[in-house]
Amino acid sequence: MRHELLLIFNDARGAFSGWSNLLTLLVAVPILLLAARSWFAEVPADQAGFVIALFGFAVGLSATHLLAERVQYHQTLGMLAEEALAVRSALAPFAILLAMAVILAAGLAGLVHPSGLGYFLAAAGAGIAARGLLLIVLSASSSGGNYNALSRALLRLAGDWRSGLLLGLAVALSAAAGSALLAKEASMALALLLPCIPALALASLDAGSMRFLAQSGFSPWQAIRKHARALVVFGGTIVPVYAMTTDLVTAAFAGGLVIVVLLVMIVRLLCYRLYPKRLADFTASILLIAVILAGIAVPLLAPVVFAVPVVRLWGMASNSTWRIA
Amino acid sequence: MTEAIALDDVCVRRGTDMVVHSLSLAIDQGTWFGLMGANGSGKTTLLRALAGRLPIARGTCRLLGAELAGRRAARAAQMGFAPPIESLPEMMRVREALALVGGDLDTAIGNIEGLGDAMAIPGLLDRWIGDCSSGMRQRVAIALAFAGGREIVILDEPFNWLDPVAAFDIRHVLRARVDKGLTLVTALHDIPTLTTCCDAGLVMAEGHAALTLTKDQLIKGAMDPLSFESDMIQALRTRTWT
Repeated sequence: MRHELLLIFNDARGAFSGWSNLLTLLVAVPILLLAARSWFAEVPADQAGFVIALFGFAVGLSATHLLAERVQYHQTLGMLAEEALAVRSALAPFAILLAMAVILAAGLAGLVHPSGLGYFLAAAGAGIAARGLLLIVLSASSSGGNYNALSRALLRLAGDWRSGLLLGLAVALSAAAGSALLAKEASMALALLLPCIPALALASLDAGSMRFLAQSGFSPWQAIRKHARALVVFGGTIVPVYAMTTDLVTAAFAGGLVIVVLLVMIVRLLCYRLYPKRLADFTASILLIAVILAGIAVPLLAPVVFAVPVVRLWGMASNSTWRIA
Repeated sequence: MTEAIALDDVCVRRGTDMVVHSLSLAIDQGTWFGLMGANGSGKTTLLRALAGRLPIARGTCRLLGAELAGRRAARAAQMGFAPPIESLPEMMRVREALALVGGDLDTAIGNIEGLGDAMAIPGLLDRWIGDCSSGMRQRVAIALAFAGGREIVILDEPFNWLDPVAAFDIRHVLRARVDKGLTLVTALHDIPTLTTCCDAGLVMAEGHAALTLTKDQLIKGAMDPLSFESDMIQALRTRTWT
């Protein structure tokens, strides 16, 4: 556990090494938290609960995912394999770290919306259970629980524009069928839910490959063009078909959803060129949380909160082309 | 003979530390240049700066006659460079990595020429890099340095991790490529390769040039390896910068 805490401390020190980054954290986060708190006070309880629950699920899922990866690392490549391979001695410190992460995030959730704590904890539990279940399923599978195989399959899907076309057609035709068979609200909900998972799958990125592209002379723009093709084809397929088979509003929302996923992918891609995976995910998460909080507090501010750091990241990522530190 | 690389008073930083200090050297076209030195002496930093993977803080760097000290991307575009094996992407197949660097797989394989067979690359093409052993990754890294078809290639300790047969075969193919006009710069740790394969060399210590080695000195070294090694160690210990 001391080993992991030391790494977390070093990562945080790396991410906020510049005074401007630290100042941004110290000033912007409390302001955004206060703004989010005031926004939550105004929205209906069920809506606020839904947003908090989404946050909780994401925290539970990603914290468990991260810790599962760390246990696997320690059991195979790490310096503390002996301790990590003894299940009891490995699980206790990681369970404590998981609890610490959930409590910290619950504290933030409690700050912005005290009555949403229950939603948060329930959803975080669901996130932990979902990731835990995936671990059990994978380790029981005939492939010997090869998580890499799943990641590789996703990356292959994301790397081929034809996947975007096929998935786009499948989603668009399913939505069209829904629109013919279901009531308007239900068909609209279905049309917006259907593209979520394919869009996320097509936005899969591998940190090592992104660094390799940078080291091989690919500029950020070239790397984005190479990796966003399937997602762009997906969006380009569903939007016109939605417009013809459902309605323009649903098509616009679906297009917006694909653009948001694309922008998140671009942020991750830029971060992967600059930092080791863990630090890159951490940096991208902080940026996206800041954008979400800004979007909740002052919606007009969200594009600025997004654009300013992204322009800076882009400059640094361009400078990383060919570079091996 | 035309100079492929000419450095004058070059300094290179790594983070905030100056690692290479006022280093000058000249490497002729169509030669194999060997770089030796203790761990931490600045060999890797110098090679990365030469290959445009790090900026040059001061000095001049001419590649095939063009001054490129301030143009990192132009240096990188002119040189083949073997990436460190730990930075190879685990989630890519060997064929995909080669195709990326060479433009397409056929071009990359064509550029690798005889090295492909010496390194058994055809058998590795469909492998995920993440499933490759260190020796296989080393072969992939060397293949990547040649995949772009550059006239100057830089390899940092290319024989690490390789089995003796592969090392032997690769040395011979590299020598044949140099004899056909390739300019090869390698960091090395073994004196026999330096004396038997290289046309010239440099020993680095603490970021400085400690000893320059001419073809004649290397031939003599090959004939009397013990004296040669002893001279080199003494040069490193006395730290008389040349």
